[in-house]
Amino acid sequence: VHCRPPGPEKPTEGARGAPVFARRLCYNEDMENGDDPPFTPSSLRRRIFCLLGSLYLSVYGVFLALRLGDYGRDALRHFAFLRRWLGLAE
Amino acid sequence: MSLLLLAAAVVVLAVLRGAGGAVVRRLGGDGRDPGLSLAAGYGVATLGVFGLALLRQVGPWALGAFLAALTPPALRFYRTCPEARRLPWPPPAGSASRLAAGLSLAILALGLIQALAPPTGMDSAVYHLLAPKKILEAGGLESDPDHWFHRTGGFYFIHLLGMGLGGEILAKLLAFGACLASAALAWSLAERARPGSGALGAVALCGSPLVSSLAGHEYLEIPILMYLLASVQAGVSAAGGGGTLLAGSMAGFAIGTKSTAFPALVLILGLAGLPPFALRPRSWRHGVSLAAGFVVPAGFWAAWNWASTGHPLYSEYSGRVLSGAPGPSGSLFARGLSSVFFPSIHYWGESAGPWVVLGLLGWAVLGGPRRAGAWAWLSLAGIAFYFSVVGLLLPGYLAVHSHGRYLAPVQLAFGIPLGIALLDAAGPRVRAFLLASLLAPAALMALVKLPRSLVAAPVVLGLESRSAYLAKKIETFEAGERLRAEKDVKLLFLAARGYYLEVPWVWLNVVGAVSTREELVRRIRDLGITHVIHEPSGILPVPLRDPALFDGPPFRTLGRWPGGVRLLQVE
Repeated sequence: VHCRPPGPEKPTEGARGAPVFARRLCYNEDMENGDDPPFTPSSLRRRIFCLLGSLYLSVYGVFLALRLGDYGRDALRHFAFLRRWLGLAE
Repeated sequence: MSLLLLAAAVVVLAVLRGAGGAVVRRLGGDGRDPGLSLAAGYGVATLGVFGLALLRQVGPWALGAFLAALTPPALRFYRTCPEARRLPWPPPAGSASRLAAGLSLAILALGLIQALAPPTGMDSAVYHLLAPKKILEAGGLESDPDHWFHRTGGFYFIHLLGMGLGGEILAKLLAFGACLASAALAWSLAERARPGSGALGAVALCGSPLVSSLAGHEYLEIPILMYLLASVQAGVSAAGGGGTLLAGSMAGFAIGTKSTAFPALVLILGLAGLPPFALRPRSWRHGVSLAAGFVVPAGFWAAWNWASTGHPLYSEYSGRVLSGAPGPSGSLFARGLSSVFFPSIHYWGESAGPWVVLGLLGWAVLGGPRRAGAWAWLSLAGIAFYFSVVGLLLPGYLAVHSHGRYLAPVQLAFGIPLGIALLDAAGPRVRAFLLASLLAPAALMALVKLPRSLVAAPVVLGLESRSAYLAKKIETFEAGERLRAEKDVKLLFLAARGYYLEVPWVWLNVVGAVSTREELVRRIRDLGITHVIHEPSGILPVPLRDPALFDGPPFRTLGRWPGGVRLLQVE
């Protein structure tokens, strides 16, 4: 008994040069036929994505900043524990 | 002592990984994936220890014999699979991957320090370590419907295995093993999606608010995530019916870990090959294997609850929320949904993080690649299914700020391959944008984790006692310790972390829905309560949070601690 299954040691190359096993991560008809269609989003789509993504990250950042107050208070509480343990504070 | 326990944990985890690897191989896989093998080993141990608990044989000898029984197949597996004997550490390529690997290791190392310290996590000391402690004290599972801690979740049997063999720290380390398995699975799934991206997959998991804040604590969302990733890994690599059986059983263990893991059910659609969720071709034969693998791991705990209480689910907390909370409204739904996409207010960390959301956005806006479609549909279906069920069955729960936590395992399991699939498909600028949204929050989460780990370090290194550490971290700890010297105590614990109590006690759920002081005093007299520990925190039903309830006779204050904690004697 050996742990390596029968078959080629290295993945074979797909049509776009990427290893074929990467395409098998999820199933669709194209993969069954050997390849995933080329993915080349237009420049406009890329710009829209970066714009919407930046907007989302900005709003996320605001929420995170609000949470940072909690994180900061917790950090200060723990640093106070450390200072007390080290004998630097009563 | 910590080193000894660490060594014991390595041995137990190695046995579980080896036994799991043997199961994976028996089902047609190769067993080389360390995360999948370890998850399968956790599954085997969960069912085995559950069986011992039913037989009321959970002492150290029985648990040791169970582990010894797993050792020969584990050794056979290691003997025949040399790759499993090496530490899996493929060198990360590129500066982003190196940084990702470093951040992942840093977060896991900080989590390990917390795992080696006595438990301080809120839910750990309310449920996740208390239930195994009670089951151990009782010698096994009890069918009395009032014993709520015998009615909870599947992964508790891993905690029980550790606690029975070596105490609470070994239990914590076995729980931490699920973090390691999850990180390994995220690594291998990312490698499958885009060769060379393993470290990015690992940091998408380790740097998420959910994993970075809960690593080292014993929250059940991490095992749910591990089993989901293992199911996905088994599902996408399964060659035959055995692999589908394994994928189904891993999905079943995810559901069986905790009832709030139900959004994970959407994975069954993907494993069954139903478009647009299909992760693999549709086949009736595989469908039968999937169902056969799923049913026992998903249902054993519900079957036990049904046999002993008449209900498949037991949720004392949901009952309280339902009884006291308002119905659904637009604002509550918006608050619930926002906790999935943004850091919400009341919990430390519970969402999957911004990177997964950006993956969904990228798939929607960029329009591909097609191999990302199933992951995106599964992710969206998980969110829709969760809120539909909660809105229909538990509308009051929409007011609770924990939706991100209940959905994050699903979001991470499907979002990691989704985001990775986008990385090599959208050009250098989009790639840089995605990498920044992945690495910057992970660095922040590592920083946030640092102070808690530093405070835990002295007790881990043996420079501070367990009681001194717990006294500063747990407000009710000293009140409980003071009672140890008293005789004939029956304590009413109106607080959160009952794990530390060493006297006979009842929890707040036995008091029931009291609304006046007279009712409370009458109930306390009926129950024969001698002492009360009161912590006016959010875990209590609203009427019991009022400190004035305990002012004056028949209550006498014996001590006060920070946070309004009081130890009271009933006269």
